Amino acid sequence: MSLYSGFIYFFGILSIFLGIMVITRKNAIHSAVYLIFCILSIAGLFFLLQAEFIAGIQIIVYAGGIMVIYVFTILLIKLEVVKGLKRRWEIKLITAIVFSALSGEILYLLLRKREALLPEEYGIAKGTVQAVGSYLLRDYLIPFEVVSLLLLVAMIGAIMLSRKKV
Amino acid sequence: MIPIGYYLILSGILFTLGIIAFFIKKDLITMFMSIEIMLNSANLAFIAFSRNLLSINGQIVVFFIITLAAAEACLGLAIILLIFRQRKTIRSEEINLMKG
Amino acid sequence: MELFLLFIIVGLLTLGMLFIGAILGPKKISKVKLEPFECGSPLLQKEIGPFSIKYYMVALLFLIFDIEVAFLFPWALVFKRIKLTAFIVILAYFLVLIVGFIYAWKKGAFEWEE
Repeated sequence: MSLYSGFIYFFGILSIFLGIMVITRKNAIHSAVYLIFCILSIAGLFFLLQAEFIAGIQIIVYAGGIMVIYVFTILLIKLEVVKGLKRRWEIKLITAIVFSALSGEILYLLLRKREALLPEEYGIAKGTVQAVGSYLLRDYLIPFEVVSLLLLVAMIGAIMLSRKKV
Repeated sequence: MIPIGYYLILSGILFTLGIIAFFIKKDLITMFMSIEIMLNSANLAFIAFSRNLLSINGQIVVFFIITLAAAEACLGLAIILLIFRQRKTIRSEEINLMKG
Repeated sequence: MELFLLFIIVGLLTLGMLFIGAILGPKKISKVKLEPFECGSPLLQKEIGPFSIKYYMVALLFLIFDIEVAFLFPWALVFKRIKLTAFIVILAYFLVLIVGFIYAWKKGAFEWEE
């Protein structure tokens, strides 16, 4: 096992562990902090998969921007620890069905489709900032412009929704 | 080298965790966080395929998804805060305004 | 491989030291020890109180401008190669976003005192 594979297994197992911690905590601020570390470990996986720019964006925007907003909201709401309040049985049934379907799919991939698990030869497709930029301005010009519209909508909506007087 | 199936399994496990959390959690903020986990698992699958197929396109899609997640978190959390200020609760079962 | 071994050894060493410290060390927990540390002075407030919604709008606008600037990094590195196209693209990009900026300004999102 090389150093590279070791780090990939490490970050993968760490992200699964942190994801389980996120969904089992009772207190919302604890799960927010665990989610920050889960996102950081996924950023580590991106870095090892040679998507360096995306890993940086993941850390800057996800861990540094989006999760800060989450923590802000939790602190503003002063969330009490939600407990009790039994779920209805339909929701439990849906959860059980979705859970068994998804884990069945994973097990099928593990057991039957062995050829999907064989290692393949990798070439070099480094996701440096320059490579991403050249693709972005050659093939993705229209989405790049539409993103500005999306951000405009988000900005106007955020100002409208969070004014002091509702 | 790690085969791509392992990344897909990791992505599936994270997606399953997100779905479970979305169904069993009772407050809106944690349900929103589970959506973030699901988006991240989809991003991981995109990046793994981008590496496997030697193409940058998957990474650009992930870039757009991260932008979408930022806009979604911005608007969604503002709406959740508005709900809390008007109704003093963010439990998903007590917000039944849409039932008429 | 040697580097990987180093990580394993240092990690195990750290865990072992923490474990030994937790087992052998004396545990005296008093009320004063459990309080958050504020430079030795008595606590000003018990917990994180509710704060103004003004900070929240600043955080939301920060997130939008953050992702907006993130799109400039790949653009800046290919600007030298495709000068005119890149300039027109970024002009249209900012033309749309300036509208939002002016809207935020007019609505008083950047003004602090009230």
